Parts: sequence; C-alpha cells; structure tokens
Amino acid sequence: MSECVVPAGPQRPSDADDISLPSPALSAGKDRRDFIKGLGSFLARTQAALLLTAAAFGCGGDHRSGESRPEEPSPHETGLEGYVRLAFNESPYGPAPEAVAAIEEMLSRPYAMESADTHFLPGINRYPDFLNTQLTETLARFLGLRAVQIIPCCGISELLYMCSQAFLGPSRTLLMTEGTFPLLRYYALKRGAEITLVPPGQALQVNLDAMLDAVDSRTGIVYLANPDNPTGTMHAFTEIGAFVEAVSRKNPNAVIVIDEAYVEYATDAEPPLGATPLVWQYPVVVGRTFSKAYGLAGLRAGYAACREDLSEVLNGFLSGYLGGDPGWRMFEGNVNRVAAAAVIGSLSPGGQAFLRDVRALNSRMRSTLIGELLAMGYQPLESSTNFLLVRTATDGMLLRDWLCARNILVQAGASFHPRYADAIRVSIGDERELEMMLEALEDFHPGAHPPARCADVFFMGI
Amino acid sequence: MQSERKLPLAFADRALSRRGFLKAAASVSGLLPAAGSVLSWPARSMAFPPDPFFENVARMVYHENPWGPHPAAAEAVRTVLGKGASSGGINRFQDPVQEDLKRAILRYNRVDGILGPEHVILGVGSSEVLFMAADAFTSAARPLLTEWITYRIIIQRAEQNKALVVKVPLRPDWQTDLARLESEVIAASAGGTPYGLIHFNLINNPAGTFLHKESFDAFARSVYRHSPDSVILCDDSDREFMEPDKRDELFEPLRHVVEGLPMLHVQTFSHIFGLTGLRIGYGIARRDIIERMEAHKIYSGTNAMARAAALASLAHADEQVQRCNTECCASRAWLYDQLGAMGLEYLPSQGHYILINLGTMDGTLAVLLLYLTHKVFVRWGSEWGMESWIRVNPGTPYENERFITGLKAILDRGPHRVSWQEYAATTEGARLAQAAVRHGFPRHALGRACRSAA
Repeated sequence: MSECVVPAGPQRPSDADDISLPSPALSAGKDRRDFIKGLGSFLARTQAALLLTAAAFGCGGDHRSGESRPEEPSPHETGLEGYVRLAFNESPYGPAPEAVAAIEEMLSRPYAMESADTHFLPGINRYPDFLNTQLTETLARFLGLRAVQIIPCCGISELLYMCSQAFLGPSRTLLMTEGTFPLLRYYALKRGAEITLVPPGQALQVNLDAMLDAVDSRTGIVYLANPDNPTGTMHAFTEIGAFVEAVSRKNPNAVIVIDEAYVEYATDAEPPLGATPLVWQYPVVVGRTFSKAYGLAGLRAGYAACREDLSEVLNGFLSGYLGGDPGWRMFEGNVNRVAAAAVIGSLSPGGQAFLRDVRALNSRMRSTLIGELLAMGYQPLESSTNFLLVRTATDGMLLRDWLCARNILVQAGASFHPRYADAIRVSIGDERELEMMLEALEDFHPGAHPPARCADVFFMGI
Repeated sequence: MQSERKLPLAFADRALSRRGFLKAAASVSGLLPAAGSVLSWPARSMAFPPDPFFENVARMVYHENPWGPHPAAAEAVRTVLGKGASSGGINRFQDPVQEDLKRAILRYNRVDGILGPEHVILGVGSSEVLFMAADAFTSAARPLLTEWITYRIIIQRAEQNKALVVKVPLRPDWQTDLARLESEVIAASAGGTPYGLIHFNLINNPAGTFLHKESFDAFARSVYRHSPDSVILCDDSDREFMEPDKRDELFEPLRHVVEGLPMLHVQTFSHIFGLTGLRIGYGIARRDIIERMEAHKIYSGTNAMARAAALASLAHADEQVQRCNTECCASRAWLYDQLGAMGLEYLPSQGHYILINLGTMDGTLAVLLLYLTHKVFVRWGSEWGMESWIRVNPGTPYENERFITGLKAILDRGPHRVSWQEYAATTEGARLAQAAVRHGFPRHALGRACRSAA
C-alpha cells in the first residue's frame, strides 16, 4: 500500500462541478487477504469443474508488453481469452450447479428416434421451442406474473432492440439519463428517434424529478437503469413506483423501460421482484438478464416482464416475428436450447440458493475493494451492483489502457460520458482477479504511458 | 392507457402502411398473388409447438439433422461448460468479433487467403443473417424479388420493412424461372425502382431443385449489369446433402463474392452440422455489404456454446459431411422407393426434404392424422399454397418406416376429397380437432374453421 504513488483525492472534472460525490461508507485499509474469507462455503457448493483455477489462466506474471507486434495474433483470434476481465460485469462465480446440470441433460438427449424404445425429447440438434413455453411459464411462476406478461429474449440487447422498434420512431422520442448504459440510445439513433438526455442528479443518481419534467406528449420511451450503469446508484422500488405513476399520468402513452440487469445484487428479496409488480397496472417493461448474477453471459438469455398489451406489441417485433396471429413468435428460437435449459436450472430452489451466495460474496468483495481503493487514494462510488465507478486523479482512458497492456480489462468512464473522464469502471471480480488489478494499480504512476491503446478489445456493454 | 388498451403509435403506423403497401403491390406487378392470399400465409404458418408435444415423436418437420452433430461438437460444448469461471466459461460474454470462427468458416468454404474475417458476418442462426439482409437491402423504396415457392422468412421480414415483395413462381418443372426473373429485374430497373435484394435458395426449399452453374452465372451477371445496386442472396443451407455426382453442377456464389460482385452467400450450422438448437449461421459477402448488414445486427447474439461447437464441427467437417451425406442419400432413396411403390407423386430432392403430393387427401388433415395416429410430425404444403402436399425431412430408418406405415394407414382410411376446413366443420372433424388440441396440437395451427369447432 505504501508504494502507491497516486495522490489521494478525486480530481473533479470541470464539466461536472455540480456533482457532489458520495462519501464511500466503508473504512479503508482492510487487508486484501480478506477476500479469501467467505469463499469456503460458497465454493463447496460449486462443481469442481467450475472452481477457480489460477493455473488454467494463462496470464499470471507473463504479461504481454502491449506493444503491437506484427507477428502477435489479434486477441480476437482466441475470443479474448487470457485477459483478467473486469470490464464486462460478468459474474466470476459462474452458473449455478443446477444450471450446469440442466445443460448436461440437454446435451444427453438423443438426436432422433432410433427405435420404439428411444425416449425422445428435442435436443441440441433441434430448433428451440418457438414459444419458449417452459421458459416463459417458469419465469411467470417465479415472479408471480401471467405467462403472457413474460417475453424471453436473446439477452437484454434483443429486448432493447424490440422496444426501440415498437415504441420509438420519428415522432416518438427516447428520454434517458445522460451517460447511462448506451445500448438503447444506439438502437434509437438507428430508428431515427429523437433523444432527450437528462443529467444525473445528487450523488450521480438518476434524476427522477428532472426526468419527469422532461416527459412530454412525444415521449415514446422513458429509459431507466435501476441500479444504474455505470454509476452503480439506485432508487428504492417505492420511488420508482411513484415515478412510474407520475410519468403515466403525464403521458399515458409513454412506455417506461426499466433495465434491471443488476437487480439481483441490489435486493435481498426472494424472488427479487424489483419493479415487476408495476407491470400489472402501468405501461412498464422490466428488462432482466441472466448474464450478470446468474453467470450465464455466454449463453445469451434475458427476458422482459411487461403489461400484457405491451407484450402483444413487443412480440410483434421480436427479432424474427413473421406477422399474422398476434402473440406468436416465429424466429427459430431467439433463446437457444442450452440457454433455455440453464435458465430453468437457475430458477430452481438450488439455483436460487446459489444466487444468494453470489450476492453475499459480491457484497463482501465490494466492501473490501472499496476499502482497498480508498486506501490507495482512489474514490470509488457506493454501488448496489457488481461493479464500481472509481474516480481517479488521472485520465480514466489512460488508466484503462495502462491496465489493458497488463492484460487487465476495465472500462473507461469516458466510454459512457465525458463527465466520467477521470473514472474507470471496475467489475467486482473474484479475489484473485481483484488482487491482480490492485497490484497493477500499485505500479501505476501519473507519468505512466500505456504503450498502445487497447480500445479494440473492448466491446459495448456490458 | 391504463383503462383503455391503446396500440402505441408506431404499431398503428405500421398497420396503415401495410394497407398502403398492398395497393402499391397491385399496381406494380401482376406477379403478386391476390392481396388476400399474401396476408393469409402468416395466419396459416407453422409455429412450433412446445417440447412436450414432441415426446417420442418422429420429428420430420423442421429441416433438422436427425443424425446429430459430430461428437466433437458436443464435446466442445461440454468443455466450455467445464471451464473455470475465470477462463472462458459460460459466465463470460463472447468476443463479438470472433475472428477464429470467421477464419475457420473461410477455410471450410475454401476461400481463406482470398477473403478475410471482414467478409463474414455471424448471426443467431442464418435467420438473423437473412433478417439483417432484409433490413439492410429492402424498404418501401427497395423491393424484394424472390423465387416462389421458397424458404419464406425473408419475405415476411421484407414485408415488415414495408417493402414490396415480388414472387416469381417456379417453372412447371420446379426449376427457378430465371428468364422471368431476369425480365422482372430489367423492367424494375428501367422503371426506376430497382430491387434491393434478389433472393434464392441454392437448393430450393421445399422443392429440392437447385441453381445450375452456367445458367445462374449468366443470370447473375445480367442482374449486375442491369441492376447494379441490387444484392443477390443465395441461401446455401443444403449443399452438403446433395447427391455427390450432382455437386459439380451447382452454382457457387462464393466465386462471385471473390470477384467482388454484389452476391451474399448465406450458410448455417443448423443443417449438415446439426447445431440447430444452438443457433448459429453466417453470411459471406463483399465488405461493404457486410458492413451494411452489421448496422442491423442485434448486439452480441451468438453464444459461447455455438461458437465452440461450430469450431469443433469445422475441425471435423470432412467426417461430418461424409457421414450425414451418406445417411441422407440413403434415407431419401429409401423413401423414394416406398413412395414410388405407393404410387404417390414426389419431387426428387437434392436437399434434406421431400415434397409429396397426397392427391385426394388434404395435406393439413394428413399432418394431423399422422401425428395423432402414428406420432410422426411432418409439414403441411398449405404453407406454400400446395394444399394436397406435405413436406417430410428424411429421418433415421426407424422414423422413415414409421412415417411410411402411418402414411399408408391414413391414405387407406381417408377421408379423401375434403379440405381440412370442410372436414373440421363435420362432427367427425370436430372430434379430430378436439383430440388434436388435447394432444397439445397448437390450436392456432388448426386454422380458423377448426378453432370454432374445437
């Protein structure tokens, strides 16, 4: 810790003088070895195959120089393997054993009827269930909603795409927080919709009052990430409820899209209902994903919970919908068979117990990381998620590239908005990953220059 | 919006313009079927019933590979599953670039070293690739031209995009009518509304005929000349199922891609490689064409399992193609023999599907009866306006036998010379419909007449 040469205290960016930074609640200077605590019972539940094996990870101590050497293959040749990935808010704990078992079952199904004795159920060589029947029913039961209120999707990306097609257009605008998760904004631009950006408010929270003020008769979508990305801030669900009511009173045709990608980290409630009870009454679409706390980012599965009439409209825009009978989806499986199986496994009682452990471990890691960063003079924001926005005394992009040259991936705040130019966004990895990052940060000094920009290994998102 | 259900504006706009589109269609081309029939396909289309519907059913309906993927592909999926959470496990997002897979795809198609990863686009199945093509190249101002009958999904996506769709029927010998297509292209171009996209199945699904090397090459070059802004799309989902002695006669779209011509070659891992449930397909084209399609991509859709399985499949491509080609050829030949002996008309096919004419029996009725009495599920020809036809995907020997046994039984017992709609209105028909619904047969798929009966 004493080797840290980064001066303490945040450098306030000039364009954000009105923003008061929250003071992180946790005390600094905890021993980093604390990370290891709490792993015990958690890992005991995890399949041996999923145990964290540092040896299998080919980058300990053998860092790439970062200089681009022509003979060196592009990182995309290997699908970005070999990086410490703290840029995409993935869960370092992987999926629940129940999810893995469900995938195994799917893989073991026969490919066809070979005799009258074959017990045939469609396996991986068969198109997914078009209607995601079992998946939809399981999700509906899980949240206490009707099946028609659930739309399984190929990650939240597909849902946001569908929303942009259904509720935006040249005469229907998008309203969102400046600097929040940018994917819907990107789809809105493609849709030719006007976009209104509302700066965040106190402590970088989404400014609900200002958002409400900005709602007008042309508003097509009010987009809200709760918890928010990249700030990690959140509003209580009761505040969201009041906001939704006020918005729909002001413009009953505005659809409120609430992105709850990180909600599982933000509430102890089981099941994590979040804003979903609102969909009985209000024009609300709640987006969820299995890419974060559920540890299934590689499989592409998410879903929408929404009011029934919205689901009818949205289904019409599911990426493969072919028209005709409303409510029928015709894309040959927007959720693939392996993902569908894994989701159903994740929602089982065992899967939910695993999720509980993930949540507990994440909070513990988060507290410890906040402490470590504070001790090093960084300014991490309080967070309800599995990532931290960390303000620094330097340029976030520079720091990101510097870390990238050491095979450690974090996001630069500037990728979201210039307001966060002094920040990086760091996922709460496991203790080994975080140790590696902290060690690299200790080596960083203000005059450091990354040998090469690494922007090409970052993708949107996430 | 709380008490009164109101469609959002975007939706209402769409409905209006669709009516507008139909008017435009009628005035531009006499080739389009009557408006009513355009709108009636989707209502009659085949949504998939849920998985339990298929328990112990011979599933010969969706153009899936009954011989399964190469063992190495399933093994690759298990390997990903077994990877630690820190090292490329399923908890990690896929690198959306996936250069390794793109290079392997180019190698498989024997254009590595000539084309690069920038010429390849990946999709969630070839469906997404077809959608991206429809989104990029069709619109209200840029119509879609297609052979008909054909694999339909791109047509419906183009309609969603408010594009005029012009369908040129196959010739009486079931071959693509290139002469008529060519004059259509020339006329549209001269009229100032050139086609945005011209769509073909390299091997026609469902007819099983294929695009011939010389004639299609000449056709395509004429299109490039007369309509330089059009993109030709060749959906190549079945090349590997062809009888080996026919392969040399097949048109090769990649030759045109290599020449820098506006040709889009679409392929999938769903058929010969048997990875249907994982959803991965691709397109190969000129860089500018790929870039225009990328702009319509849903972000990061392809998944880790699909990537691993696709890479493993390509590494064992020779074995897999050889095995499934042999199985498919034998399966088709056996079915031809049986169908011939039954005196049924069928279309000899180079693809993994056979169209069969049941003559006096309604195809939809036959599909229902086959399922209810023999647990065999095949596809009805009414999807292509061919009421007395069914389409079957050749299966394992056991499945084929069960299909033929079932077909003989239902053709023996009838009923004949009655449409499904008429039959469903009878007491007996209503009973059949009720049984179908009880078995989980998708209610909507039974058609309007049946819906009231059941």
